[in-house]
Amino acid sequence: MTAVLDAQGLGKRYRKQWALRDCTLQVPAGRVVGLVGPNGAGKTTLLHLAVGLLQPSAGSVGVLGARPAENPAQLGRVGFVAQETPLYATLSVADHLKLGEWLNPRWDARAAERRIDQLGLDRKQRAGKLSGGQRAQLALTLAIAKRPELLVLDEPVASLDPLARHEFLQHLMEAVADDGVSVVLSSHLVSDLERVCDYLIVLVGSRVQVAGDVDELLACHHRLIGPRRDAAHLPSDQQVIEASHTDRQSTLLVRSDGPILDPAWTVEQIGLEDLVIAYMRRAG
Amino acid sequence: MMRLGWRQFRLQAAVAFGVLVVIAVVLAMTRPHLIYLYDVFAKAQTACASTGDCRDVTINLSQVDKLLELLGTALVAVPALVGAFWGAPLIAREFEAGTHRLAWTQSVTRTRWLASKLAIVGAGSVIATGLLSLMVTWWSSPIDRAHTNRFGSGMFGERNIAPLGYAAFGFALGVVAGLLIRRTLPAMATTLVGCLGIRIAFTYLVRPHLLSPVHKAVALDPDGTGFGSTNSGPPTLFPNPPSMPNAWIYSTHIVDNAGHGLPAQLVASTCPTLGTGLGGGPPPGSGHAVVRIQAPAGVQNALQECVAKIGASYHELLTYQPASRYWVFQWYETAIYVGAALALAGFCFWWIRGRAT
Repeated sequence: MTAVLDAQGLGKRYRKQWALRDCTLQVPAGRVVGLVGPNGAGKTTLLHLAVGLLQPSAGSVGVLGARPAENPAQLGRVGFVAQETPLYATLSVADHLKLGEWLNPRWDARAAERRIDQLGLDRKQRAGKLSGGQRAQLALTLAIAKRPELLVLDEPVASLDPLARHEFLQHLMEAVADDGVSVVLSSHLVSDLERVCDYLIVLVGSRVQVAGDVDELLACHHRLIGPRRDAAHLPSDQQVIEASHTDRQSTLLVRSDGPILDPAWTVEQIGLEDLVIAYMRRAG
Repeated sequence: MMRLGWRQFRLQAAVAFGVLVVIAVVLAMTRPHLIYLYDVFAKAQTACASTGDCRDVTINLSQVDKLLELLGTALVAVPALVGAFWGAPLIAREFEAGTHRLAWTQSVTRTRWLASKLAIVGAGSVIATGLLSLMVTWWSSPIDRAHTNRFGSGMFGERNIAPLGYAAFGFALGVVAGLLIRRTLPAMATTLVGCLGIRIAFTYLVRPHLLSPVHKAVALDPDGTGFGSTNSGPPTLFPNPPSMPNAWIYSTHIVDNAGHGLPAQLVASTCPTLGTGLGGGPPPGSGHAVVRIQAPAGVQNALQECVAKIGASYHELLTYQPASRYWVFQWYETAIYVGAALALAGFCFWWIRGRAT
């Protein structure tokens, strides 16, 4: 099966500063991928490389088995909603739908009209006068109605209030359910992604810290609480992501593919947020 | 993509078209009277030519006509304005609003996106400027016929086809400025300054060398030659070029048959009395300024004798572009500016494919 996103040693450098480096990833199709990391971690750079807005300085990136943006057909296979959901402020909602129709041969006009009706948007309204939530929804409509195989969204909910955030993600999930499109969306908040993602990439300090299926990641990460001991004495298949110690007690977050057999530990399941934060701390 | 390009440009196009229509109506309404005035003027000139005194023959242009005449001169700024208001924001505004990320991720390559934008707004720029130039050329034709100075500043670049070349260039320069600077206002300012700077430099440094000028020797005309002196130095003769309507005269020199200039000492030794009886030299404190003095009748006779004596071995050498070359210059100038515009457009394509993000 072709990976929707296949990066090999991918890197992007601005003058002497690496915005992204040594990124090797294979994201399978049919997933909703969350790309998490603090601001400035390189999320936007990775997404722009994937949609062909940027050219790599090192390595290579393939999207749906081809080079990003190499021709109109490839452009048509990837929908993109950029950060802050840019739209033409002086053009109306209806103009934006026409724009989508003019520029995309696979445009699904009926689906687009239906979504606008659902959202209750005034077609004559200029995009510059829309609320943040409406802008995001219109941008999403444009990206979905071109019927892409992969939908890439850069911080789509960052500037939305909680209600708009909820509605946006709900619409996104409906589209995924209807069309079976693969999705990559980024956020600096895990909580935004927790409900919708089944695949996670944690990007910190321009490097990928961990990537994988959410259930698998949660299954192989554990919090161990027990009498104080040195992390170096753990079995070799247990990798410590984070460790904290009091005088008598140690709390470890470990990655282990096998079960934890040592009876001295109390083993706790961890949440996605704990996992992401542990990797962020380790990288920081 | 063409439809989107037009959708984004149509409001500006409509405004420009409206302005052009208003100008056209005003020009069409005022022109008949203008023709009448110049007819009267031409007849009066023919009539007075027999008496030899045409000093009282003038044209009474109305205030409106004078204002409209200025419009012709203002045409010099139109290509720069087109570049600043249509060219510079074309891409810079997309960068500022981030909408290039929307446009470049639709199923249309950047190359096509840019090609459509350049084609639509570029054509709009050239057409609008061309129509304005056409109207100005038509309206002011009676004035231009009377002035017989088609190569003159405020005339050559503001009539016929040259403005088309300037418009294409101004637009392309604006697009490049917007592409590189990425912010609308600084790009607009850069375009205005760049456009006018390049126009001035071209007019004075390049245009005179587009074709090598023609040289023509004419006998010194005792009636048409004046003299003067610099800072009470030896007197110098100033030949008046003969009447050559619509020619572009670079210079007039007094030379002998070998091409050597007329030495000042020779004037002084041939005509030792030249300048006496003028009632003193230039007023003190006039520095290095050249002071030309209208001579009384006696002095004028002495000057004519002097010119006749010098004219025995010296003649006047004219360097000029004949009036017949007007259209060659128009085409050259237009072609060069259009060529530069195409080169700038090519640069845009190269930049947007590989370097713009």
